[in-house]
Amino acid sequence: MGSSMPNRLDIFEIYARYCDIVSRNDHATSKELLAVLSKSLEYCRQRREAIFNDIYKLMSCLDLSVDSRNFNCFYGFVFFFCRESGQKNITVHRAITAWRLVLNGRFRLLNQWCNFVQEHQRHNISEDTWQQVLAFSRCVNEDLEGYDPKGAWPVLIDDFVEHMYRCRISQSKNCSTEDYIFGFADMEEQPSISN
Amino acid sequence: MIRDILMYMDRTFVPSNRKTPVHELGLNLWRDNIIHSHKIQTRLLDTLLDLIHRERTGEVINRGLMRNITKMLMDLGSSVYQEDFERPFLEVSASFYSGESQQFIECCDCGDYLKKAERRLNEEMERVSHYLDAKSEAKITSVVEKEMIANHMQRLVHMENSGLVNMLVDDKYEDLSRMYNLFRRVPEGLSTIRDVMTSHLRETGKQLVSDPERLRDPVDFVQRLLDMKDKHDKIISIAFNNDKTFQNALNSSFEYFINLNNRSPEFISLYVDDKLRKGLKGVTEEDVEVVLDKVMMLFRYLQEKDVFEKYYKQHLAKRLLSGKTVSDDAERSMIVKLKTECGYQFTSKLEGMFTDMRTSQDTMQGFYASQYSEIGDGPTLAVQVLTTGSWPTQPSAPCNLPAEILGVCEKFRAYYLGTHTGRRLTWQTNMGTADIKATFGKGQKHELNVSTYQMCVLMLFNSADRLSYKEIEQATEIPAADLKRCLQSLACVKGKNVLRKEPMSKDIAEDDAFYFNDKFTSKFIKVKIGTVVAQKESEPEKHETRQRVEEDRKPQIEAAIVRIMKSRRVLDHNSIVTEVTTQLQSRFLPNPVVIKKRIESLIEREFLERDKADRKLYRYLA
Repeated sequence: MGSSMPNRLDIFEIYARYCDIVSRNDHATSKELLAVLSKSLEYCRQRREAIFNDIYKLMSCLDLSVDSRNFNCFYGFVFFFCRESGQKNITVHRAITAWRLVLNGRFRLLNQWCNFVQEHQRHNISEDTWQQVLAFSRCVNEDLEGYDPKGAWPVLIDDFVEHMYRCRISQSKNCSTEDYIFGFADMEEQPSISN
Repeated sequence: MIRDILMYMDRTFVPSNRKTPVHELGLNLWRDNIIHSHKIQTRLLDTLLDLIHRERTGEVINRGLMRNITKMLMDLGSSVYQEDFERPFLEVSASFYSGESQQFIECCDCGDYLKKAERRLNEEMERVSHYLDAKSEAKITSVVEKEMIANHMQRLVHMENSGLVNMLVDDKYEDLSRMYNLFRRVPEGLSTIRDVMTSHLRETGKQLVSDPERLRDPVDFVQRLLDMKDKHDKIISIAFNNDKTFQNALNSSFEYFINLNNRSPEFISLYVDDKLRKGLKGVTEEDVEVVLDKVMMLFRYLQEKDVFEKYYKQHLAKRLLSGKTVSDDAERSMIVKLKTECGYQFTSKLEGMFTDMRTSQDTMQGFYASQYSEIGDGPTLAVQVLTTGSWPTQPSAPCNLPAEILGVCEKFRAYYLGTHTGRRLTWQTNMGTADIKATFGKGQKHELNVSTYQMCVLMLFNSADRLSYKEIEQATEIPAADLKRCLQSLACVKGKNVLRKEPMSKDIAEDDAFYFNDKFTSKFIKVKIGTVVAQKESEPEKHETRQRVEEDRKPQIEAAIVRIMKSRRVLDHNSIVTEVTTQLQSRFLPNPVVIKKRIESLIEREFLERDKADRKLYRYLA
């Protein structure tokens, strides 16, 4: 287990350990183990800009399109990997970069979502919100059908939906379709994955 | 007679051979040959109906004859009565009343129409009792009800200038009670009245609470609400038979519109304040209770009871500190009422304020007893020691007290800290008052009742005749807004202008100069100089209070969530929201979005987590 370079784990190794820990059922111990793992990540913190390169590298090697459970694990891992040690949340900026990378082609409203968060969210993104965005991306389409206002979504997502509705209304009024064009362009890029 | 002759046959032959008894046979023959004979049947019916019609139009008819005929028909069997008379009678009545009601409704107003309908109904009941079979009563009244009331209900209620709304406005108890009694007879009748009343109440209430004119005078605003409540309570008790459903409708309407205006809690508290300051002087104890009970009724309608509490605390503090409350009993009674309504928690701080007032009195007595010899002629100091948590916190901006006062203050501090170790005293100069003696131009003496700030300003004029605004500000260090207000009340109010300002104007400017007003005169020895206070909160103040309230709610909502989750362990989102709302309803109506935010925050702090499989379920951790 990385004995040749004890201080320098590469991302594949970390990911493998992460999956191993998460797949345990015991909540308390897996939390402790994650904390330990998080500590051992200290080295990366020197080169934070590179984390997205690492994630991209990992992503291109994993077969994520087939099994949604695999992707769940990976998605959770990204949050874990982006988090500064000792902190519970990640910054808006980092979250958006990560979303654009990992949800590309998987979330039809990705562009609108990221723009919205960029503009309106001041606080950091919590793990719950992070996780719920994935669930949200799976259950709504570009018309926001499938969104249930009573569905216990985080407030940020509720606000986003309201914002989208408002955009729709003003859009239908003055025919500016900028958001729409973005949306379609986004989908056409990788239609095979999004379906 | 025939039966007597054939008595024997009737007794023995008829039963054994199952033949019809003689009497019955006679009646049958009579029925078949006379009543049902071609010529007679229609003529009899026409005559009967014609007679009734004539009576309805006001003629006097032979009621004895009518009674005999209907009795005869009944004797022939109730089916004969029903077939040969009752059914056609009902049909004719229906068409008669449908015509008449049409005619009435075109030419009468609602009140008259109801009177006529009532009279018709009574006539028909009388008719039944005089010459029809008793069983017909229910049938004929239901015909009248249907034709005269049910069919025209909507039109009657909404009739212009005389409909239900007008009756309510003009307190027409008789008409209303008539309407209630008539409409009660038909299905949907009462709910029609109730619906119209509710929408009327909501409409007028909404106008009342959203009228900007009304918002200027909070006391009047609340008085109007109370009057409106009284008026409709009276209507319900006099005209509507104290119907529970109507009372509920009234209550829900009030609840609806009072909460439309988010200043209602503040205004109700101001109203109580006004009553307890001056409104209740010379009023008997029972009357005080009545007024307070009425206020409590409005209070019950409030959704944001915590906001009321905030304001009530502020207003109570002002009353207590300035010694303005009329009656301690009334104050206490109000607090007891709040306590029974909302529980111990709600009033514990208010009660703490009363306790502080009492202990302060004792402290002052102790202070003077111990310092008696040293004080001599100096100013008399009355200190109220307030517990920080209980009183509404004011940002205390200390001002420079005159040297004379400062000396006594220091003595008191030494005395107080000597008896109570480990405490800290800060002076809240913005809340105090002072009585000072002043001699004016012609040697006349007045006793001025002023606030502490005003006293500080006036004391400066002991050593100077002219001071500029800047000089006063520097010497006293009173915050600018307060200083302006206090100078305004000293120099700009007619009859109380112990200072003179140059240039003369209504407002205080930074480069104004002030003079001691030698020419001040007053009829009274004691002159009370009020501060120009903003009674109602200004916009920024309101905003600030609102924010404080919102902040205070957060821990309450979180506590409720945790309480619920602790007992339930696992619960879905919507149930939590409902339960939190019910738990907190007695204090305020929490906004679902705020609850959601609190839940998110609890998840973040790992009190809760989302269920892995069903994202709408939350689990309690630990």
